[in-house]
Amino acid sequence: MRRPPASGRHRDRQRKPGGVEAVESAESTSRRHDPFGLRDVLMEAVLGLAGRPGRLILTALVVVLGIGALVATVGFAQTGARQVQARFEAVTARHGVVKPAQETGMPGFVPGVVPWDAAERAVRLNGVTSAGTVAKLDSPGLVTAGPVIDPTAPPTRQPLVMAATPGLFPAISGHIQEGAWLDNFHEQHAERVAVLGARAAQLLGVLRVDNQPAVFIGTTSYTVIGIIDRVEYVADLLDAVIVPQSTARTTLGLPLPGELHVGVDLGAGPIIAEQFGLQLNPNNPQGYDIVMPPPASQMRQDLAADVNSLFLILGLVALAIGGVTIAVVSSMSVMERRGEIGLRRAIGATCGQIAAQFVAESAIVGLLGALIGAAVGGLAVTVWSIIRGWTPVLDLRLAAAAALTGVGVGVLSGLIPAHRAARLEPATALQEGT
Amino acid sequence: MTDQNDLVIRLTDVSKSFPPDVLALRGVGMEVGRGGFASIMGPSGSGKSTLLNVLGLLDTPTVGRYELAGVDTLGLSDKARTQLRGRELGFVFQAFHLLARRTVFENVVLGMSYSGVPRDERAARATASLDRMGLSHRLGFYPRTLSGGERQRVALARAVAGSPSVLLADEPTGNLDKATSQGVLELLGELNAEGLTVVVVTHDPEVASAAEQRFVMDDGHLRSWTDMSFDSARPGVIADGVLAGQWACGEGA
Repeated sequence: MRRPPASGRHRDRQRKPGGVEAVESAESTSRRHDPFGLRDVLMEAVLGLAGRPGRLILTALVVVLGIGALVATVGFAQTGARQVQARFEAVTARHGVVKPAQETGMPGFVPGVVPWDAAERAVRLNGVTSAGTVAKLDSPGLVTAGPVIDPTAPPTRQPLVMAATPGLFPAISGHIQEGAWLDNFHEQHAERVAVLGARAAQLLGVLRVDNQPAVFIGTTSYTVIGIIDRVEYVADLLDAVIVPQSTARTTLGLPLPGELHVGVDLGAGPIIAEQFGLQLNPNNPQGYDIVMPPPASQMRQDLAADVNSLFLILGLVALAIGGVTIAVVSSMSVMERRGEIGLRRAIGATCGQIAAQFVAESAIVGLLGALIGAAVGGLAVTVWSIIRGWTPVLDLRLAAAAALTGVGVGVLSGLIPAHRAARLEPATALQEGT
Repeated sequence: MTDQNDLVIRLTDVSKSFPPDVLALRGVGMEVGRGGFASIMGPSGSGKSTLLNVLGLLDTPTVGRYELAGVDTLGLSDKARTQLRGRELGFVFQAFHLLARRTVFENVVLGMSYSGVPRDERAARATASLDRMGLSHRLGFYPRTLSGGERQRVALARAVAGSPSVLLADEPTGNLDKATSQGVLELLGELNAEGLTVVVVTHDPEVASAAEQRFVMDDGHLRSWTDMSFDSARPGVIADGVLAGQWACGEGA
């Protein structure tokens, strides 16, 4: 049994004159009207793409490569920059040094003097994490590893002799090879102990400290308590026999404490620099050369910008190739789908709706490629960082930017095919397409 | 018989020329009443495709007036014409034009998506329309798995699901064998009997004769052929010799 046609309006052959108007007005009041909107455009675009999965995958793949390359390069750059920065911050951004100012010859200018208790004064400042003074002794006497002096032996290279306070070591990011660094007890009691720089230790033939070896400066013996093998500043320390400052002052005649090194919190440099002169000598705060690290944020930006620009260009080129691919494949698709386009026009699709569908299809390809590309790029950065033992840096905004870029590239490369699709004459398209 | 206000299609002195010097339609006049059934016959190059394109609002006449369902289409913008087309016209083509990657059901639903049929009604209407064409067992099938007759019936279901005023059929039986053609013709007749206005363009006299209003296209001129009778046993005699000779070539749409 057949039912009447699924018609909302039943047409009666005996319709009265004026029936057309009657139908129109009845429609406008009783029938709702759902126009072909964004939702339908997206739906049709998704169905259109899903009908050609092979083509979708191939086209999206090129975008995946482009976005993936972009995300990976930016990720690598950021990770690399972070790596450089981490080292940089660990030392440069946390270290400052204070010396007596050079004589300028200006009237009334008096060079300052670093006081003996400079390190104690310095650590009272907010943001100073460690502080220590270091000085070189000019003519301390002959340094030997034993008390016996053989006048017939050929003269050997002499290690330096330096004086330091306990706080110096953390301030210059030193590293102990063996034993220990000078501590507050040694400083307070002017103990006759010494720490050797690695090269000085070699020169003196001191290879270990657990048997309490001694070195002689002149005729006074000093017990070696440690060997240091690495410092970020004051490299001379590695060539020196280092004694406590108080010991040097009392037994070796150290006239002045030399220069003050401080470890500071990240970003605290500029403020500390302002306060330092007053803290050391309120009567002559101008008498010092104070070098403190620049603000951290400024340094970070400089670093990141330097590394990123080159990589970015490479990624953009890859992405442009992706865009061109979408445009070409999509244009081919338009020619192939003439019949479909003609049909859509026949059943009431406007030029704009046809164009919108093709733009939407390209945009979806772009978005899909971008999302996968961002994931692939992120994964590459993560895996690489794990292999290198770095901390991967992945900005979440990068993922959002990648998605937006993908949609943008898709829309741009879909414009030409969409224009061609919309321009097709429906009658011709129906004739030529199948 | 037909009242002025009851006309669905009214062409007045319509001409269409294509540059540089092709005159496809020459002063064509045509009136089809609401619920009417008209056929347009003619050989290739006679202008019947052009006439169909004009009737289907796929093309605009160079000169003349075309009123569709009481709307004068002359001054309409492209968008307005497209919307009128989606609302008032249903199309059936020789090549079916079903989307290969959509199911039968989806193809019919698509037919309503541009014409403003409310979303929640589309599924029910599509089902009912396919049921009407005897295809309720084919809803989830893809067109390539169907026979030619079934495909054309899907196309018919798509064309009428949105309740158009006029069904325009362009060689609806051109790709079908005789038995299948007969089934499609019967469906067209039934739809017409239920009140749908039908216009068929064909080169097949048998199809043309099913219509109550018959027109012949000849070198851009449209002639009424209503009072001529058709003898299905001898299709050759329905027209004068010249036309019959041209039809015998068996040209397509």
